[in-house]
Amino acid sequence: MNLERYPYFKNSNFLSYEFYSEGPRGQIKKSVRFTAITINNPIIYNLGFGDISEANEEIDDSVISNNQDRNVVLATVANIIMDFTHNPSRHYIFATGNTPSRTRLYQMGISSILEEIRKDFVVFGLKDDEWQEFQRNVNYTAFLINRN
Amino acid sequence: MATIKREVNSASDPIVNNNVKDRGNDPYFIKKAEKAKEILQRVGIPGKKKLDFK
Repeated sequence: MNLERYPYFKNSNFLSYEFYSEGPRGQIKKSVRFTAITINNPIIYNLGFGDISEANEEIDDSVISNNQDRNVVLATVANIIMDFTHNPSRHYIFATGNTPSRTRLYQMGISSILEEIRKDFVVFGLKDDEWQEFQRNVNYTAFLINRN
Repeated sequence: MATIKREVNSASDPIVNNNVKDRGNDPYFIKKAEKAKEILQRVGIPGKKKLDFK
């Protein structure tokens, strides 16, 4: 994936990742955590993503970072998904925002780098409780990503 | 604080770092995983409605 991204680090359990966003609001620590939802055939992981609060080191889901680096952050998350799914037994990644507007932000982000994402992944969007291959300008409530 | 150098490459080269905290017990991530499970129980995945949940 030839997109500008931040360097990132992972825990030795290979489920938790971190990186720093940098922009007008300074450096913001970001966390990505994969949580298994199913046990097999296929294994599906939820992608959790958020800012780490400096105050208590917990994920702060209310903050809007607005660090003017959305596409770099998204490319970093895409690279993290690529690293995580490198093991072929890891089949699907599920993602949704914690609010409709946050889901819409994810959708805009995916749309903006869709061609790059499609080199490595198939992306589905959930609309009216049915999965369909992701298309631009369609509003989805969740996303499912599978490595090509 | 030093400036973070952005990178462009196609190879994944993450560094394992034990300072990266495992946030599996963070309430936010637990809540998100529960929500994901609820949705997937209802809709399945493309071509498969019935899944084996944890």
